[in-house]
Amino acid sequence: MELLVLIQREYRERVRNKTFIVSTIIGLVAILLLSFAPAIIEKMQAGEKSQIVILEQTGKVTAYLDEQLQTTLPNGERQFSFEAALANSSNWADQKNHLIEELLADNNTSAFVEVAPPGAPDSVVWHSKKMNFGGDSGKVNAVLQQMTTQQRIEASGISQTQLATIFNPLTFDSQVEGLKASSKEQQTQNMMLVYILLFMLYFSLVTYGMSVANGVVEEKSSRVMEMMIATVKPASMMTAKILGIGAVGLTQYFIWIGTGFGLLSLKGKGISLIPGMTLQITTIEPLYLIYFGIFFILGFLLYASMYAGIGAMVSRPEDTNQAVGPMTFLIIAAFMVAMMSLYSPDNQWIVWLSYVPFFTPMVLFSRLILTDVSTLGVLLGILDLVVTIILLMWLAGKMYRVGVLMYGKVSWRHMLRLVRER
Amino acid sequence: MSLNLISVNKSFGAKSVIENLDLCIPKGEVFGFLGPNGAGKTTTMRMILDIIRPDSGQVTWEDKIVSLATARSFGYLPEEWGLYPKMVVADQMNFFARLRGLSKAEAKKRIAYWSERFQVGELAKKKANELSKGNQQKIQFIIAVLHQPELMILDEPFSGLDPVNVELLKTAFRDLAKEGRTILFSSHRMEHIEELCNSLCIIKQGKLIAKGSVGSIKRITGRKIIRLSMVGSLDFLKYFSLDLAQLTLKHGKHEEGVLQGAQEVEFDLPEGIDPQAILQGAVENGQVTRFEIGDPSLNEVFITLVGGKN
Repeated sequence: MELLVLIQREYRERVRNKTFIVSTIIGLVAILLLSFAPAIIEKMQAGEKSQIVILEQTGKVTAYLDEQLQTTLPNGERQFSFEAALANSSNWADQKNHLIEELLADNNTSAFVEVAPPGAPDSVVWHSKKMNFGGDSGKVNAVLQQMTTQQRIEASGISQTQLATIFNPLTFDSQVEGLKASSKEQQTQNMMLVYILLFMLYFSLVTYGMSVANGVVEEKSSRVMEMMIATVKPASMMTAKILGIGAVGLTQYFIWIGTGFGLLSLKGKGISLIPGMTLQITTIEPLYLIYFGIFFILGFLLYASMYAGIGAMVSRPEDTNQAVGPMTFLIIAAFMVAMMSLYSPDNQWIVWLSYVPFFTPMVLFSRLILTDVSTLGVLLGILDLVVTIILLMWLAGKMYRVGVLMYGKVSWRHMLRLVRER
Repeated sequence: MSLNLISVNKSFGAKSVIENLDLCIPKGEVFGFLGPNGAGKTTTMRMILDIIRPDSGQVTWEDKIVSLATARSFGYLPEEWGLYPKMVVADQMNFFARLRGLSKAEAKKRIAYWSERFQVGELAKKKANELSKGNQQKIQFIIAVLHQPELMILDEPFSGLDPVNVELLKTAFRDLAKEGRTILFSSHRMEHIEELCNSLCIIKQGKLIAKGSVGSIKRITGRKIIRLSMVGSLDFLKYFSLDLAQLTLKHGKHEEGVLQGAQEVEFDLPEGIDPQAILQGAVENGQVTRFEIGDPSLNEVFITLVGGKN
């Protein structure tokens, strides 16, 4: 009863809070943006036509490019149009200067290309007004390379059949053993998923952990603690705070994940996070989300009890950040190890670390999805988390009991002595 | 059926805060708890509420040692903040009422009653940190009284209240006392204590230095105060070895070293002097409008008891 009233307060006060509402909305906007990213990227690329002037001696290069580069824009129009500007060794320099002026003056021409200027038959210079990283120049370069290779082969007298034999490629398949995913694509997708979920875990453990610490400090600094201590057990207060804030976190996830799923089912196709790499709903095993839920809850309980204990030792809000510093570092360390586990989930060190309670929520979770972990291993990880949580909760409860009414600077040694005395 | 403190000791580190405190507050009494700043009043109240425990000795209520279970049946108004700063007042009152085990409907009814009585209805939607000190105090008092506690512990309930609100609170005190509730409260305003309390105690540096009914405390110093109003010269008082310059002059003027006109003085009755002799002297020297042999005010007793070296 009293616990329920306490949890209700923690939950309602936070869910109504502006910070919660704003962060939830920001999350929703991010999810929307991500799900519409492919469409947005397409939109941005559409209509970008390239008008290219080729300065050459014969006109053959322009014709070849025109024939080979048939890429079309999403609206069906051709992307490239080429125009030849002929010059010979006598007027080359004039023509070049003229074309540069034209390029600078004219917005329709996106580039002009010098092919085989006099004295340098194997060189091409791409002139444009903006830095070009691959893109158009890359495509043109590829076609010109191909043209040159072909011309040289023809000149050397090797036949087309001989050539085909020489360039016949090996078939190269990769088959990953020991990992959960059978194909490379599957593994990449799993890594992608783990990456996103790890970020969410990390983010929420830090945010909601801080929220617990701030909640305790708020009660202390506003002295409402005294009223509370005279009314409820400190253990109930702490438990309610942790559960209430945990429920706030879960609410946020339900909203986000629910929206994500809604959008996915609405669109019927995968969310494209990076063009060419899609995360499709069918590839997310429900089990992974269940694991995520379990490790979020356990991880939160683990860190939140530590945050609560530390919060009980602080009396002024401005000291909170400093006091929880070591905790935050611990979470960052766990996150880093989890990131390393993305690439080598079976590394001996990482396997061991995944059973160290502070690392388990993130590292074991990552390994579960990326590699084969035996059921026993999973249960062991969960069990060892649960035991640690119980121990930490007990300790935090004691710190809470003695810490909540101590104001001013509290040293660790003082605290330890008090905890032992009670 | 009373609140008892039996040889209670409490120290924080090497500093002794409460020493061998014995108190018995009968049920239904309004009890004033006095002492200078830092005397240990708040610490004692915290021990009654089992927020902190005595190092030795016992605090009992109805013959049971106080615990969280008893404490939550009490009403408590802490000296400092006792509200969640960012929580809306209405939610706050409801929250504490529900924590004390009231049903939703009952909580609503009583909140409405007390809000009306203390004229805080329009504050319901405000956050606690937007309230003035006086309004906070009223809200905290309502929270303390909502669950109809048998014992109320109020740490400086009058601080920050304007005279109108002081009257509201005094009326509430009297009504609660009529209902047979026990109230223990601290205040630095002696007139409130004199007016409201049946009995009181004064502690200083953690030790009890006086305890009893308001009347008996006033007599404790053995001082007698003479309050005299007269038209005429006060010079005759010299013969009672009183220094005219040091007399507390309430009204009248001190002109050229001579006291003239209708004047009112208040002074300690010098030892071994018969007050009748003073009255006689006064009658012979002028027209007496008032002569009173009385006890010192609680304020004076307090200053005498507490201000002394020990």
